[in-house]
Amino acid sequence: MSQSNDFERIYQELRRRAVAQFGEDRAVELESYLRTAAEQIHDVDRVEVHPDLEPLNQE
Amino acid sequence: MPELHELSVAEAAAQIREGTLSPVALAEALLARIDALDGDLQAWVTIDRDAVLSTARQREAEVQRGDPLGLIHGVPVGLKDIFYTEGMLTACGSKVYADFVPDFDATSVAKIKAAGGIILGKAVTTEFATSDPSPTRNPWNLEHTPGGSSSGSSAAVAARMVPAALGSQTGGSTCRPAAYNGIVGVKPTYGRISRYGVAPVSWSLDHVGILTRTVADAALMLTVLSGEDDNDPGSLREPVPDFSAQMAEHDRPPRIGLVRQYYQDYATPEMWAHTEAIANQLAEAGAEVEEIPLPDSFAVVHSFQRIVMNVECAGFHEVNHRVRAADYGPRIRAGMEMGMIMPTSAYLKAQRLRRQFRADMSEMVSKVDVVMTPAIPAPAPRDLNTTGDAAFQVPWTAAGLPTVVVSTGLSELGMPMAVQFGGPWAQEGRVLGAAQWCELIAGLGEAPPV
Repeated sequence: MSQSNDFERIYQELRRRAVAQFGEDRAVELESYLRTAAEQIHDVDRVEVHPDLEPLNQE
Repeated sequence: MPELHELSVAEAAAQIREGTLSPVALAEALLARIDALDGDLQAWVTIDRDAVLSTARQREAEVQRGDPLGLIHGVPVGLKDIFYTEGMLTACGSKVYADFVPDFDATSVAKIKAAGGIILGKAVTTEFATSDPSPTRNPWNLEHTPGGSSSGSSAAVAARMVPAALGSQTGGSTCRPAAYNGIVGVKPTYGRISRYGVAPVSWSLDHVGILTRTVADAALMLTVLSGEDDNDPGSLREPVPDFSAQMAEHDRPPRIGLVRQYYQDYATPEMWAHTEAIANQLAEAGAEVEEIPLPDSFAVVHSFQRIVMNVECAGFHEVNHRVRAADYGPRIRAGMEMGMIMPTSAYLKAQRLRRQFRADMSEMVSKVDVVMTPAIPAPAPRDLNTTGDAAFQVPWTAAGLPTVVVSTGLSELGMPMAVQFGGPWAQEGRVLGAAQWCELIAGLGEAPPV
């Protein structure tokens, strides 16, 4: 799948969640934030990490 | 003889200890300064004058009987209005906390009091230390933002209303406004100063920050504030050195790693030229300056930092959001809503990338004494609808590594410019030493025209 398709899939999933949680009107207001958040997820998705790498938390 | 409001923390503390300065006179002078300037600057939100003067009289009596409490006895300190203060309004710049009066002091507030400091008041914060702008103005030019989120703390220190104030940093909220206002900012190692009793933005990213006018004062305040705290799950389990003494050991020409990659492209030509000029000035004074590459993991730091911040912000505010969403400012509300719908897998991936990034940044800084970058992409914007750009702080905050910002000049428009030094985990003394050496050679040394 191309990178633009990946981005669009992530964006549509975020938008679906926004509509479900906050309603259609609010999802429209959040349009630019949804696109930025989708870019952020797309960025981190593209990076491969070692399977043993644990998340950083409060440390 | 400087006017009382011009005194640094170290100068005031020394004079009070020697009996040549009255804590009451100092507090009165700073309150008068606030009266004169805060109508324009709007740096303060809550000041209890009677409590300030009453405490100052107590500190005076204690020193007169030869019983000073600690390193900053009798010196007033400002608090960003997200630090819990027992019996004092802590509104966090928000309608949601408009009536919140904590029944205990944040650990950092308790430490200031235990060291003899006087809480001068609560400084304006952006809403819950995020990015909806506050009403505070920049003392160098009232039409420019002071930055944020520690907007009131930074403007107040720069305008000589108080010699030191506490801020916080989750992205760039201490070191960015320090640079915009021409003062010194310190973001220590993650967990070095307890976050207990500080309204959170993001538990795994939040740091308590320090704002002063000299690097020596920052070291003094860091010594007062640091220490393990069982109430803070992220507290650093490291011994606390005397940072002033540790800094003195490093007050010599350092080996500096100058980061050109990313920072040169992102900064304005004026800001990058200034950074190179400072690097050259330091090299002429004896520093070894070499260019140093960034790790590959730097490429996505701004993305994973924002994912973590939004999710954890949503975690703290979710209950209030359910019933009072409209009472939040537009940017914090949208940020937390992005956090509420963020997939768990994205949050975990972001935190895994952070672990790798911290290791990579630690390796980078180990190759030199300190790493140097411009502190800000550009001087404070002439725009009161923004708090500016935290891009140059975010990587250091995400990694949890210590940074110190030193102001080093003025732009063509007369706004402060600054450089940022970063160093290894728990090595604040090394970073402070390099910063103080830089301050001596290239420090701004000017007060704003207020």
